Amino acid sequence: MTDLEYYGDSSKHGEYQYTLLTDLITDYMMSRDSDDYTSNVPRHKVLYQAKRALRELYSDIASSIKAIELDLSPTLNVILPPDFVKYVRISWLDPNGHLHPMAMDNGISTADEYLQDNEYGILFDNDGYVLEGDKSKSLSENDRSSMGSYDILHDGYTPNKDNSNTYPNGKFKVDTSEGLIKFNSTAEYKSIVLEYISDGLYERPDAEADTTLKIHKFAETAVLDYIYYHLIKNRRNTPANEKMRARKEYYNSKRQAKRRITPLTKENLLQVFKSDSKFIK
Amino acid sequence: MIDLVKSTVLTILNKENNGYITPTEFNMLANNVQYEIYRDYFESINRDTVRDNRGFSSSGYGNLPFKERQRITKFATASSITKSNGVFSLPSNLYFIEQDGVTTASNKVVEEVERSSMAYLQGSSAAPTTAHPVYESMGDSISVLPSTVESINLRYLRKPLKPNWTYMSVGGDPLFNISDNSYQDFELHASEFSNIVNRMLVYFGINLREAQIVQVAEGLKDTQKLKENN
Repeated sequence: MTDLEYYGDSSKHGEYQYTLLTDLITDYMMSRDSDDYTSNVPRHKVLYQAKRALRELYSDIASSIKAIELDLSPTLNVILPPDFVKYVRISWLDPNGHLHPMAMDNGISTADEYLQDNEYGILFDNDGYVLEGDKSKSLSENDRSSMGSYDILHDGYTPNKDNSNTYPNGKFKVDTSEGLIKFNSTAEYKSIVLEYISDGLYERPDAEADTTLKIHKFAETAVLDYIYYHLIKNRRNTPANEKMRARKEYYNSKRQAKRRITPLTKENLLQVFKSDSKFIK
Repeated sequence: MIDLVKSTVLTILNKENNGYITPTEFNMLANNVQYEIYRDYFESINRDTVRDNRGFSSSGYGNLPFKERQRITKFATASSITKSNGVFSLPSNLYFIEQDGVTTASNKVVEEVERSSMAYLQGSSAAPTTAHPVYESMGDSISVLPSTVESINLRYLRKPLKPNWTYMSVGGDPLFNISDNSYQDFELHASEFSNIVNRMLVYFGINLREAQIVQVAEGLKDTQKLKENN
């Protein structure tokens, strides 16, 4: 690919830092020796372990955080993105483009609501299944309101207030069973920025399967070591010391990959230490 | 090579004293011996590779797996096959499909999967895709998944052609005729000459009911095997 082609195709920008899963599989299959412990392992088993490796390493070391911006609907719910695995930070966005991180409130109930009659008996449908209420109402009006938020300028100094229950930027709860993020009214009519991590295995439905999966080049060795270790670890004829060696090698390459991808540099430290001299009023 | 083999065999048999071999008998046994030796290649290369992995093989002229590969690849060939009725019909001269020898038009390896694993595989996270297609064998054809694959390239080992010592009758005696259209030499590697002769002697000894010939030929075969295994 020429430089002209690279700059002209936005889908290629930054691609060089990644290795495709398909290339990793091909490399692994090619590099096996005839006396390798995995020499006769079929490709689909290598592929399976490679996908597990991506899932395992993506959140640990790849640190690839995705972010999407959405306008919050009046229902105060946001549907989780299709490749959502875990949120990193959820904020609302002010007109100046600044993020206001919101807090997770585990006190909000997202339990399934079983319908009951006057005698507190559980109601069933004609097929014998329990009737359930509308779960979206489980976020109580109190929770949906801005109650719980706290602003010292408006509320004044209240020394006995438990600040662990205050949410100046609003609060939310991730309802994994329903696939929703529920917000309180602090964020009503605001734009929400959802930062989250995926597992590296999500592919757009229109993409050719397995061809867009990729991982950072620094994590390539860790993926290959993961594949090897997990292919031999349950084999009866592989000596225990080889399994131990492979395990150690994998953990070491994972550590190296993490250090290379997210290095701790002098500049990072200096930036953090700048806050050390900040005068607190 | 075939005429030299025949002459050598007849010389050892000393046909005047041990009986007569017709060209038809010779050709039939030659075909059998050729298949026998060909089949043994796969065990030999496995044995040599294991020895190589243990460090009992040297490089250069002592590289046994390399030599064995040369013997086998005399039968290597390739073919392109298009899907018909949902499957790919295998060539009639197929002996063995090579490992990773099936590829798609876009050069993706189509992996062989055991039939018993296919059902689980299709439901797994490693399910067949265009990037990682698989196939299962069914009789004389193979079925490739995903079904979007329409053509494949096949690398395989073909069956050896049947040796045919052709002749013309001169004064009632068969005289070797290399110009005959049906002439076919042994297809085995030149290094197999003595192996072919020894094996043919065993069969001719049995054919002629000559225990002595069988015994000597078996002895020669065993000596050869012993050499290979040491």
